[in-house]
Amino acid sequence: MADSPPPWRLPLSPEGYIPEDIRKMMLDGFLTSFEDFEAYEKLVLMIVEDVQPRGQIEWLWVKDVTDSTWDIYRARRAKAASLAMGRKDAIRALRKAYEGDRLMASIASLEDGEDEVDDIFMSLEHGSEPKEYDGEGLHSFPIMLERFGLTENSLQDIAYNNNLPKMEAFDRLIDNATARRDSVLREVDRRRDLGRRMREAIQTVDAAIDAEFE
Amino acid sequence: MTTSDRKRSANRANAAHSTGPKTQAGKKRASRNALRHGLNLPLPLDEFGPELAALADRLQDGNPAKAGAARSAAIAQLHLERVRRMKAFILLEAALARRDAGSGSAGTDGDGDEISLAVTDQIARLLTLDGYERKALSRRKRAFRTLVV
Repeated sequence: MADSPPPWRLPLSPEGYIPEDIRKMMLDGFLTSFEDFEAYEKLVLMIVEDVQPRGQIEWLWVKDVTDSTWDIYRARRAKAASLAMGRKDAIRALRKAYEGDRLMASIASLEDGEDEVDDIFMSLEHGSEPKEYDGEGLHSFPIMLERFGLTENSLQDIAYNNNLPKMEAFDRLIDNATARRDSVLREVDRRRDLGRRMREAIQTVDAAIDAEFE
Repeated sequence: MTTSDRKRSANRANAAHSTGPKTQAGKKRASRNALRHGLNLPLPLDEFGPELAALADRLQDGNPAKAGAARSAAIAQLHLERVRRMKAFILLEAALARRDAGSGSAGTDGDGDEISLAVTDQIARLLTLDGYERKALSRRKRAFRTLVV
């Protein structure tokens, strides 16, 4: 997939509506061959259909807003992936702690406890479902966490805390892209009608992106 | 000695301490500063000339009075595109390096695609490039304001 990106399908026209030069700019190296061309194309079309830009300047603004939105999406995905990895590290740290005497002692009295905890850790690391246990052991990861005095959110917090500088850098990337987009939107607001259409288009796109991260 | 004389000699004395890198390695490194990405340099017209002329022409929209602003906007736009292409190139390079190093398409832990991992690897450079992108956008904004009045 990385070596042969899907063919670019942005319409040069139904009514001739993505000017050749803008289309060329969109094609020319903004996306890498590892990225989802179809998702970018969908984003462009969502904005273009709502905004119906007229003239070169409006087209360039549309491209700015599309590209900044893509930058935001890229950074949010990277942040989410990094947090997911941090969460796994937190689980590993928890497992290490569990293997220490103090935490062993806290569950040693449970029927099937040690086996079940082992199994849960293994399944979490490999992304599979843990086995069912009949005894009074630990039946789910949240219950196990509770025995450690933690919740699902604690793991997220540990992951965030362990990667704080990186998380702040992701946030700066997201903030920068958002600021670029807002700056363009403020310029566009000077053209009242286009500004309203552009903001409406962006709200729809942002809602779709937010839904992916919820 | 007047204030400005004193200032001038102080500046000279201070400047004598700032004569650049002394070691061969330092000189070599400094000689590459401007070549690192070239984003502070003027657009090479031999490469971008025709593109610049065509874009300026479209922005001018047949109004000769707007030729200067249209050219400034076009230059800023081409700078902007260069920064954006450079970001993509950096990400591509990092993603390919990860793939070649065998960390796999799904990342080391099954989380994250190549580009997410590349963003993580290259976050400092991306933040630097953000500064260049902001600068180009700001130049273009000034030129657009002249064009759309």
